Amino acid sequence: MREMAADREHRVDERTLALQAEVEQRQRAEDRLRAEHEFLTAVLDTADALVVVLDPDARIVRFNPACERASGYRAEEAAGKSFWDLGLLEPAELDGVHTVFERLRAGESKVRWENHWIDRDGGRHLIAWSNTVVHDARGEVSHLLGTGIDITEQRAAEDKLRIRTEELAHLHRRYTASELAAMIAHELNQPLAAISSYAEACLQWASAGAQLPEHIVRTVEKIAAEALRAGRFVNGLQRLTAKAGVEVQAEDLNALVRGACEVVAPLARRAKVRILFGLDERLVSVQCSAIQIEHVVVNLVRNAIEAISSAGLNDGEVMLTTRVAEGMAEVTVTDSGPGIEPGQAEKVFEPFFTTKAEGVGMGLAICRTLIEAHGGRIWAHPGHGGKFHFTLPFAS
Amino acid sequence: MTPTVFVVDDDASVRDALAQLLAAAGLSVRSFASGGAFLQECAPDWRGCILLDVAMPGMSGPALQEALAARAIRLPIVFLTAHGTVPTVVQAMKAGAVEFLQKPAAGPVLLDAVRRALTIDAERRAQDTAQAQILGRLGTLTRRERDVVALAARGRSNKEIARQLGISHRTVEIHRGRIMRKLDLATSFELTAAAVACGLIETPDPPRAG
Repeated sequence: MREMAADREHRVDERTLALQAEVEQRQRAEDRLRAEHEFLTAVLDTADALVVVLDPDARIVRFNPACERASGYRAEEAAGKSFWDLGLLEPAELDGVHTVFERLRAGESKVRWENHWIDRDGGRHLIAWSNTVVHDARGEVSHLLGTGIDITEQRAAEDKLRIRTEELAHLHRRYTASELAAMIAHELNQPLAAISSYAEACLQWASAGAQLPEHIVRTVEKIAAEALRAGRFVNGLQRLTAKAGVEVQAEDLNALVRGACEVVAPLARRAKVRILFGLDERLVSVQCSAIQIEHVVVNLVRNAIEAISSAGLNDGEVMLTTRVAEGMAEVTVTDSGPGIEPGQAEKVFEPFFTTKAEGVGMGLAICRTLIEAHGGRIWAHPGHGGKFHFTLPFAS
Repeated sequence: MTPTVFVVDDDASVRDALAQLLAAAGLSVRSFASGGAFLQECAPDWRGCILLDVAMPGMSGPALQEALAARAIRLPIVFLTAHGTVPTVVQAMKAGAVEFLQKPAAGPVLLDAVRRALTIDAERRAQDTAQAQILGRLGTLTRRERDVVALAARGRSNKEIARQLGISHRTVEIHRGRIMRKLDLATSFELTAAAVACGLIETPDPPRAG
């Protein structure tokens, strides 16, 4: 009897110990889980990315602080609500987001999508989403997980740059037309002037008493008239393409140089060319048309980058410097390309001069026209490494 | 030297054609292939006008205009341009160009501009000659006679002149008669005009009341 009691007691002790061990083990597991959970929460809370988790009925399970910032709703307000009821979406974009939701619920993973969130104050945020799903043990979709990045500012900056790039490309086409027209006008008007003057000379002789048959006189008159007609066309063409009166004002040359380099930055990255600056920050304002000078800088830097890559170099550098020289502001663009051959430093500015396989040869001709119209000068240095300079008058 | 049209253009055909046209119209012509060539030969006694191309390699038309002004050579200029830009036109006209024509210019328009330029030069020369003559004659006046001219040209009466110079009315009359004879002038209006032209007085005083 006593033995039995002792045995039972012993078993109770054993069981108690086992239970204690089990409790401790479970406790440790729970601690681990909690730590894991806290760690994940900390990550979600501090991430700049928006993280939203929905159940298959679109009820909000998780709404991290980045979501709070972009929506204006607190996580407590959002929790348990249907995502569609929060009113975050633009009506025009609703269908698209619905489709994404259905695709995810059907088990598709990794669905990328861009749409706006309208926050409580009506502010619009463009968000690039990368969505995926979480499956439960039975393989059913248990949660939909969206990770998003607010790209409003980035996109605005990209749009601005794209618009500027397009503006510059448009200007380039116009200037090319204008440069061509001026050249055609010059080349054609000279012989037309000669033809017209020769014909007029004949008519003068006729009226001074030279015995010319009437039909010859009439025909010479027609020659003179036709020369003038051709001249009117050529001069009309030139007026049509003439650069409209440009507005010049005081501009920060260093800012213009930096702005122009933003436009060519994608090209530079592709060609693995670094753009370096050596700008004299004490430079005072110059008198110019900002868009035209930006156009000149873009042209020079683009040429420099193309010179480096077309020489088969795998990388290189373009350096832009500004300084004061002889009472003018001077910009210099140097590159690590092969440079200009001696004897070509003047020729590069002539229309139709090009060393590029697909070049037209108007870029530098246009640059010269623009800079000279500003009262400045542009020139190139022959030798190893491309080196172009231009000057502009200071404002005031 | 006969009044001559000086053609300055770098294009040989244009030079030749313009020279033929101007010669056919009975004008004397000389051609130059560059502004520099013209500047090298040009003399102050050259008469006529310049028919000047705007865009030339080396010295441009407007640059030649400037260089001539710096040498006080005042031959009137008719510009011809193959492609004109507004700022160039404005600048050239401000600097005293007679006309700015676009190539190809109609013969009558061109000849008309050239003839106007020739007239301007002829009138200027005549004026210069008359001025030089009067200046020469002014040199023959006595000091007292010059004092009288300065006052008379301002429209002062003999009485006022007499009082101001402290001489008799009769003496002023005698001085005046001698001055008009020496300067070969008939009226007091001519005297004023001559005095202004020679820079003896700036402008005549306005007539006085009373």
